[in-house]
Amino acid sequence: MDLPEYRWLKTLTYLLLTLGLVPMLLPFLWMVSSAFKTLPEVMQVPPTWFPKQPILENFVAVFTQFPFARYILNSVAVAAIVVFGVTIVSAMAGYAFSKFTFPGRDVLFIAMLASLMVPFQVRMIPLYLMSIKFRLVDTIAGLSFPWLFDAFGIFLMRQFMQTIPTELIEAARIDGASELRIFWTILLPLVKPALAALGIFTLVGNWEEFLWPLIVTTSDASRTIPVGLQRFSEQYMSNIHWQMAAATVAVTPLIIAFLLFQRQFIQGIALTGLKD
Amino acid sequence: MRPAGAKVTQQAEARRGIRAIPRRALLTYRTRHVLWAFAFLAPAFVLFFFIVVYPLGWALALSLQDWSFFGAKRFIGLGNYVRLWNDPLFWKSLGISFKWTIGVVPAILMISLPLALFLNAGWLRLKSLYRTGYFVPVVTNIVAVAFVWRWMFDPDFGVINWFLGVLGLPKPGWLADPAWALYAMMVVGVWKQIGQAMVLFLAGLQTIPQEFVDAAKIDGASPWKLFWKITLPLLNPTLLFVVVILVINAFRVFTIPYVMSAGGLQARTPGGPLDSTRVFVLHIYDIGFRQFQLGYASANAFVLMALIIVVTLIQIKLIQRPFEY
Amino acid sequence: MRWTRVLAVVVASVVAITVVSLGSVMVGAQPKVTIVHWQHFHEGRATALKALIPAFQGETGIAVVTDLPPYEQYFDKLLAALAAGTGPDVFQVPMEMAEQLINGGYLAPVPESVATTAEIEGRYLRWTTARFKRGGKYYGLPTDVQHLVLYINNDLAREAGLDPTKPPKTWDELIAQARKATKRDAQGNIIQAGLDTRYKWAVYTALLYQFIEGPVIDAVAKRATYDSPQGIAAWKVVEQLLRGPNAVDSPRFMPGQRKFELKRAVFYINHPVARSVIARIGPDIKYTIATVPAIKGKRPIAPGHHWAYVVNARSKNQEAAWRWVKYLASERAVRTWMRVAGDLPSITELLPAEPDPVVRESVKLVRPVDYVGVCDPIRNDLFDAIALTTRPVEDLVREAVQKENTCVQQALR
Repeated sequence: MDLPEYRWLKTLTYLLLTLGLVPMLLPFLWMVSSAFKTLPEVMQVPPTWFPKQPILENFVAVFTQFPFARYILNSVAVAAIVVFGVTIVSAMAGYAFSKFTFPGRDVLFIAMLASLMVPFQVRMIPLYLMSIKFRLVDTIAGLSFPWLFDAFGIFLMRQFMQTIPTELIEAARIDGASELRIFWTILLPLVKPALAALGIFTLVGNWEEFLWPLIVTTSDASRTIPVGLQRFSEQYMSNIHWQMAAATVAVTPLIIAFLLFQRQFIQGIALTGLKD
Repeated sequence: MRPAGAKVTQQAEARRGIRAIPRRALLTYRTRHVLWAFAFLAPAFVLFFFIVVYPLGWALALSLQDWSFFGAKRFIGLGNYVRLWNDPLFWKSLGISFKWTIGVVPAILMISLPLALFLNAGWLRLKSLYRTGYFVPVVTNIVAVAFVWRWMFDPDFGVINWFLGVLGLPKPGWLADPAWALYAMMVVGVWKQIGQAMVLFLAGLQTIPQEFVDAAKIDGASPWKLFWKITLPLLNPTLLFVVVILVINAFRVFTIPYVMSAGGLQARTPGGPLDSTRVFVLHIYDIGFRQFQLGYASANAFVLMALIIVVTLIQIKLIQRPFEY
Repeated sequence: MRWTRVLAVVVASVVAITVVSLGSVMVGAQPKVTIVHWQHFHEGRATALKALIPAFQGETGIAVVTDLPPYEQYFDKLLAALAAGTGPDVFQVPMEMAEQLINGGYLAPVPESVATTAEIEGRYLRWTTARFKRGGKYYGLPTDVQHLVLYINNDLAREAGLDPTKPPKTWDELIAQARKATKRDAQGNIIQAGLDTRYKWAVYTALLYQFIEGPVIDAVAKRATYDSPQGIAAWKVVEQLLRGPNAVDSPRFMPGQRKFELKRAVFYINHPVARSVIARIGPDIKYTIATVPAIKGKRPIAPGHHWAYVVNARSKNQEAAWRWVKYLASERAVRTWMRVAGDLPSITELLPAEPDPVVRESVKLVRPVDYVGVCDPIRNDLFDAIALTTRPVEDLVREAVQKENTCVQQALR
């Protein structure tokens, strides 16, 4: 919005934008500050904004009372499988839909896209029963498989690949390049931004997936950060200082990744729109 | 597009003929082209079938059965759908989800749209700082922040009630009070999604041709008028898209009410107190995975799907360009 | 170039995960028998369990892997796993689930080699095994034996002008004393509770099993009886405790926090096992244990409850599983449960080892609860509804009884 001759409005804008940041960031401030407090200080009224004597014991407790490292590892494993799987599967399908002609192509594409309207909640019971049948309950594979197909990813990839000139591919074919080679060395590098956007979008969604892990995990062997965190809080319900330390540990990795790759994150979300 | 593609293929075939590569027995170029397409499509297709189509069909079959996971299955036709129609808890939880939607979606729009407009202004400094600040909640683990908010909303030790006390205002029981719990959770829902809507609006604003804006400014339009006459109409597709995403997200909200009402500080069953935060997905989860009435839960889930289809179809109708988000 | 970095991070983590998981598979590939053990999380009991596992492992070479879901999730997880056939080898079930699980064929009977029927009947308190008997066989060994007692914070009681050496004998006395001990701020918000009602189950169970003379849950008729005049009278006491300007506690006051352990409540109804939690959170609290208040002119009754360790009928390690259960219910282990967790002994002979005379004596006042199925949430919600709404108690109770009837019928199907 352009406000050339409304100087006071500009000042007001800065004021509002800065004031608005307070509620956006207060929870983080509160979380980090409480994570370094003792329990009595956490429960103090009126509250203290900064710990009188910062302590690290809460973080020690998080890692010793609970296999938190394991949860992080599980989360990373699931996220890696899903991000890798979704980007590859979507890129391959997007390639087929955009650069090949075959019978039933458009029907299939529309059918896959229509699955965007099928919420996970409809499928979760059959998916759970399938997990039981194939012994996927409480495994990393069981946590990952429902997310490997992403209609949105295919749509995005197809849109991107349509902008790539077909002549480029034809030329490579004439030069005798195999289809796999064309896909891997010509196509993928050209759609990198879209791949990254899709990957980040998938990562952000998967990192905080809660409902499915809640259903399908039964031991620490497969628990991811969100369900591990929830269990931690239910067991130590009044140990707020530990909860805040655990929360701090849980949010830090992705926030750091975000600060490092800000542009990509924001593009990723802008391109796709977060699902859940 | 298809004729064009086919034409290119024919040309390629012709060229191949000229180069006189020995013909592979049985496999014409055309066949190989199609086979390669299927090869590239195969993983997606297999996954599509096993993760979407098959479970969907299974869920449909389940929704016509009375099955509690332990006992035998019994086909009851539309019995589950009749049952949910007569189930007060179904209507109550659907109502809670609507309340959530009506509260959260406009709140996000009213905050994030002006935010995007200001962040898009040429004269604004520290743009990326503000953008980062408002965006951070989007990449924050929702379970973790739900704890933090839960603690901030604590009636006795929470920073929010302390602040209200300083101002001399009454201190609500927040999550412990059926009259306030849902509102407290809605605050978190808004907080978490502002950044996402803001970024989508920013992307939409960037597609508005600068010439329009310049022309309007030469005509002496005030910023107010500029917004209503130029920006908003041109932003309409984005606005619609954002609304649809937010509405669908609102229908499917689960984690915030679950984490903020279950166990932990409250030591209660999820959806409490007294079912005042039992949003629709929580209702489905409760029936399916706490009461194990898998058939009835599936029927409820299909209601959710129907709602999402209706919203999506309205969007398609309004945009007139299917699936072009 | 940044994209390459992202890709590198992804690839690196995939490799790392593969290495780590392969490594853990290889480390875990020992021929040892491992049994999976589930029980709900309780701070005191988890500590005791942690002490028992290495001892057992050392003696037998059998490894025990535990998972301790929070109470609110325990039954969901357990029932789902059992129905799916993926349940743990050994788990803990409350007495009210006995019929449901035995009928469903989920439990393995205690083998003669572990304990004969006569041995079980001779060793354990009779009421802690009775519901796990079916067709001459037992399907579990008792643990977490508990009855309700009243805790009093001595200092806070004196501060309110009460005498902790003269605990309230009747409910009327308790209400009067708790009201005296309740503190409020200028706005009328409670800042010290007369009675900590966080453990709702304890409060209404203490009332129901004293007020209702016949069964509270009629297993034969498959229905709840607490909408009878006696039952309504019991719930009216809850109303007196929690409604209106004279309430002695509120769900809005320190929700989910341990008010008694944090010295914000004067009276508290719980099991003897609460001693281990008080010792951890409020180690300097001086408290008195008294029998739960009675109805005027009647003998006090302490509702009793227990859990049992059972073996999954589908477990592939039946023998090892039973050895573990036998160990958990052995004299040595029971002493650990008593000492570390503060539980009552299930073994009759060990009763004199209980240090607190009131706890020991009130075992004689036990009336075992007769709840059926996982229906506690219905009564907990009723309790909340009495506290948080203004609807007539009779209506609320009637609605809850309907729900409970359905729940009981489902469990006894």
